[in-house]
Amino acid sequence: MAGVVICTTFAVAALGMEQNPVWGGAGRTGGTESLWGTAGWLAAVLAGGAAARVAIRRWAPNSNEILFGIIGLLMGVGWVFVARVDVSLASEQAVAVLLGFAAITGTLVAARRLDWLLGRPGVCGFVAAALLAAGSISSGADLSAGAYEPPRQWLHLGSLLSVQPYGLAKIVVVIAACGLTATAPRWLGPRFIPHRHAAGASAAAVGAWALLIIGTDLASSVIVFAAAWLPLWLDGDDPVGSDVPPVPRATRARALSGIIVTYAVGVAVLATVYDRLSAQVHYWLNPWTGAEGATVVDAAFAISAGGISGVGLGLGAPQHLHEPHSDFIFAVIAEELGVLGGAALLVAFTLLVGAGAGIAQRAHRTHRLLAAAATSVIGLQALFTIAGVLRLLPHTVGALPFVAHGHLAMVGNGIAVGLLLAISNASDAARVESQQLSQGAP
Amino acid sequence: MRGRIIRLTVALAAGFAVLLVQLTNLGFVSAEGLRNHELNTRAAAAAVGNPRGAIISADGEVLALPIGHDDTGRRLLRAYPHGPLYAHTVGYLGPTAGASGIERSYDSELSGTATGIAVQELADLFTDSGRVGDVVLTLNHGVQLTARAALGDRDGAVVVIDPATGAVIAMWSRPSFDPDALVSPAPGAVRAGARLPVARAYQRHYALTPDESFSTAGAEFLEGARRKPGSTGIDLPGEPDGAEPDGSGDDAPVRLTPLQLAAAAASIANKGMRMRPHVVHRVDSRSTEGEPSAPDTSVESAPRDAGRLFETAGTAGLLARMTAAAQQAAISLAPTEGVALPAAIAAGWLGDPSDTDTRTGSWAVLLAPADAPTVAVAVLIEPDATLDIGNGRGGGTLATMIAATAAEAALALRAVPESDLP
Repeated sequence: MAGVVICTTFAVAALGMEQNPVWGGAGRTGGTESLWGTAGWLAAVLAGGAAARVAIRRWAPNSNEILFGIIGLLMGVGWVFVARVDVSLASEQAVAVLLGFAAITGTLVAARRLDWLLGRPGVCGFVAAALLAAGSISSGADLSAGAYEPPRQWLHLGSLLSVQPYGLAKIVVVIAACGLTATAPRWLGPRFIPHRHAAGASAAAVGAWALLIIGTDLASSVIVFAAAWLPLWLDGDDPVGSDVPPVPRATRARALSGIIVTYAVGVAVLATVYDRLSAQVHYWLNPWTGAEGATVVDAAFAISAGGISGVGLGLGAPQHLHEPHSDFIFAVIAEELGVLGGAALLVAFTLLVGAGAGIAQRAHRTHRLLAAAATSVIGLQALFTIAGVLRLLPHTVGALPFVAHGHLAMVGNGIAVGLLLAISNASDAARVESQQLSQGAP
Repeated sequence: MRGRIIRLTVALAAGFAVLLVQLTNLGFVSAEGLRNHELNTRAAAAAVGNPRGAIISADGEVLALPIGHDDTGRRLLRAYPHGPLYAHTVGYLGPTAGASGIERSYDSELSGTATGIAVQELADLFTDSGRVGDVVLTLNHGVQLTARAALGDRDGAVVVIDPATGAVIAMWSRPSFDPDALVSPAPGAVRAGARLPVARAYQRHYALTPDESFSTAGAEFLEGARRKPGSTGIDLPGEPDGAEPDGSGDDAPVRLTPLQLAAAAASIANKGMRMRPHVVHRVDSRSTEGEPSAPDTSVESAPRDAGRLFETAGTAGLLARMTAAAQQAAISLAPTEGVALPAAIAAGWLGDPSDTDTRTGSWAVLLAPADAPTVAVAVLIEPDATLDIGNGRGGGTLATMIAATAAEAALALRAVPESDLP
């Protein structure tokens, strides 16, 4: 089903681009070849999706059916749009999509060791910190106070492979934070157990500030903070760590909300030091000045050009948008498919969050925590990115999960989906078994 | 934990619902306004690839023309032979810079999409008519050149209007800009429009005060001119609706654009009625196929009155006092040899009337000939820290001289017998 939709999207987009008056003119981005030339990569994307589907049948036969359908559709349609915006990116993005499918499959296979991983949060924390540091240090961005363009966090590995480690780091942060939440009571002294929420959230805030200082943009910092903070908040009245006395509700609430305020104040202080942070807020509040950094008005113009039903696939003018293949891919989709197409995308993400939450509700203990946190981090990332495009929040560098151009983001999100599928499979298998047991023993 | 997961999911779903509301807002509710927004360069970029008419001055000077194809053999670029001279009126049209001026406000006529141009006969309803419109302005190239030369290297504006119709004969704003530099598809030109100097002639309000030592006509003139502080309705985009109030009470300086000044002066000559100022004289539509052909139809802008500024009974007296002021200042015009025409003037300073520093800005309006004016001129000189604006001899003396020079050039046109006109 998803494959049919993707193929139709591709064919219509290719036809539309042939008809586009700007085709062949100076307004083109990317190469001169036609979208038809990338049909081979479309086949690769579809084959990758089919292979992942088979792998899921094989290793997670009882997993949630809806989740992979939504993800496959998002990745496939996203590939068509990335290739349509810049034909020269078709191969690169196809590789990214295949890597994403591989990440889903690999995670399913490796998920038997999930509890081992959750028991060692230090390892995950170290990996996450290394990834984030690698992205920030190697980006070579101008971190001086005068720079307004947020650094893009590309890690250049040779001439062929450039990756954004941040995309992978956030799911590792989620795993580390869930592991910490579950294991902290075991190795914390009895005196500190009641304060573990405050301590964990403080560490999250300090880490997120550090990201801002070493050059990450605002949205990434908020997402990483949320990835560490959410498991602590979710771990409510019935803590996942066994035999742990629950912390009084008021103490916990005070600690967690206090840290949010502290984090926000810290960000505000950093924004006065670094122009690239205050510039993001400035261009958000004053988009109509015609300043070069106020690129978000182009997204509004693109969406208004689309109207209700869009100008048609391949018929839009993404060359007016800044970074149309990543930051503003939502605006490209809303221009060509209209409010209806944009709404379909929003519904898909809402369904994704709903499916993830459903998986979390059926899972047990640490798995439930992990599923809920992973789902909400993906949901938040989509929410922040689209809100930035729609000028509801400051626009920061953010790639739409599963849709936008990027390698490691696709891998990171693939790992999250793999985890969700594995958790869903395990809990559903357990439920089926217990049902069979109860039916078998009258 | 279950409860918190539900709360989190509901919160995220609510967030997506808010996104949906904003998406609908941008794509539907406020879409029309966004499509016509002055920063929106999409329509202009699409227009660059299509045939487009020329913009021509009243005396046949080509001010904007398509210069043919670029290297890809497809796009017709735009050229502005007179550069900054008409930049604030004609505007520019570029693939990345967008459009302004006539290029923006008469876009559908120039590109031939306006119904009156595209549909000339029944068959045009079913085929691509291949017609464009040439926009002929009321501006006169000779008067425009004189106005620019008279203002010289001072910042400010000169506006010359025909009182009977509201046709703008010359309109020069300094500083100006080079439209040709904006037309190239170079990356740096993106939305350069927002950083260009505003048109002093019709986009900036100045705080004006009369020179009482000179004549009472100035105060009386400003009193009438301030009655309609809103936009004059000129057929150019970007005219502000009104100035922000500058202080309170009647003693506050009057804030007007030079165009509003000129339109007010013109209305005195017109028995108190203000005609809507306009820069487009007519639109000629022609076919783009074959050799350049004569226009097949031509649509003229009809003069429209835009309300009363002065009481009819009072205009004769005011004109007489303004004429007396001109005589006192020894201003008379000699548009052609052997002719001396009396003028009527009102003048003053910018800002605080007690500040009579020679570097203070000044303004002047001039009507000529004094008995039955056929030309109204407004001149505004901005304060300048380095230039002597020439007010040592009384408020607005230099502005009045500039107005007289521009008026002479416009009157010289009138001196040409009707039979000699094409």
